[in-house]
Amino acid sequence: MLSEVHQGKLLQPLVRDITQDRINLYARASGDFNPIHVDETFAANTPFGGTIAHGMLVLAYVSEMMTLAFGQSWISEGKLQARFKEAARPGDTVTIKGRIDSIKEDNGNWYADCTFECSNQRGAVIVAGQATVRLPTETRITKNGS
Amino acid sequence: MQKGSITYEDLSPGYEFPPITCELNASFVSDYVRAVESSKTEFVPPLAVTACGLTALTKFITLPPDTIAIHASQELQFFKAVPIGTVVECRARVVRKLDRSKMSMLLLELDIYDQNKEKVQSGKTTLALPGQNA
Repeated sequence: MLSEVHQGKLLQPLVRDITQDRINLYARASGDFNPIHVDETFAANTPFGGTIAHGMLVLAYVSEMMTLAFGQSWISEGKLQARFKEAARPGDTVTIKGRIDSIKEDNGNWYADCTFECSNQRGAVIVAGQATVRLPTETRITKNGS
Repeated sequence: MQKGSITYEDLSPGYEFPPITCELNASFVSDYVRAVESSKTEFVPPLAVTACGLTALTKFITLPPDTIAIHASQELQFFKAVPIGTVVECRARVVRKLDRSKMSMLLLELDIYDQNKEKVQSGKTTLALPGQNA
């Protein structure tokens, strides 16, 4: 978890490999067996030309990045808005990055507004969005990390 | 699990889905954590709560033949951490439906409650249904 935050601070990025096995695991865990994710023959005949990862799988990586940075504050009071811009496909390596854009005070609590982006190995943005989280009380707020 | 279903054509703004119940037991959470390579906590990962409700919800909708539904956008707000073993109820409604030649869009709003009737999450989901010529 972050002990110190400031405007512009980068969150610890995550890197995840998307494989068909991973997609199948997610399908079994979530119960989402939409054939675009798990049926390679079906998916080959769609505009995608092959299977794609569940959007919620990629978004789970964003949530994991936020949990690692902000702990229980994220899972109990987080807020996010995400747009799915491209499909993540088997063979892709997805990098999840986040940044604290601003820190604000409201009713005695401090909140971090973050932006996040998941991109593949070609630099194409797969998911982008914003997240807001209340900063844990023990978090030190500084200017530029000083 | 819900009974029955509704066709995509019959969905219209204001339609409320029957409440959907999901048990977020240890087995479900363990499978989910493994699938998304998440760190283990005493609580259910918040997107596991969402996924459980959304999956059940989308299974309730019968799409036209050879049509796929993909996620276009997602908004979420978490109100409390959800302990493993919680039974949640997902209530959802259709907010907007757009039908165009190349793409249809369905905007759903959902609220998820725990067994004490306390709201644990709310969100908005946009599903895109690319047309045959998309």
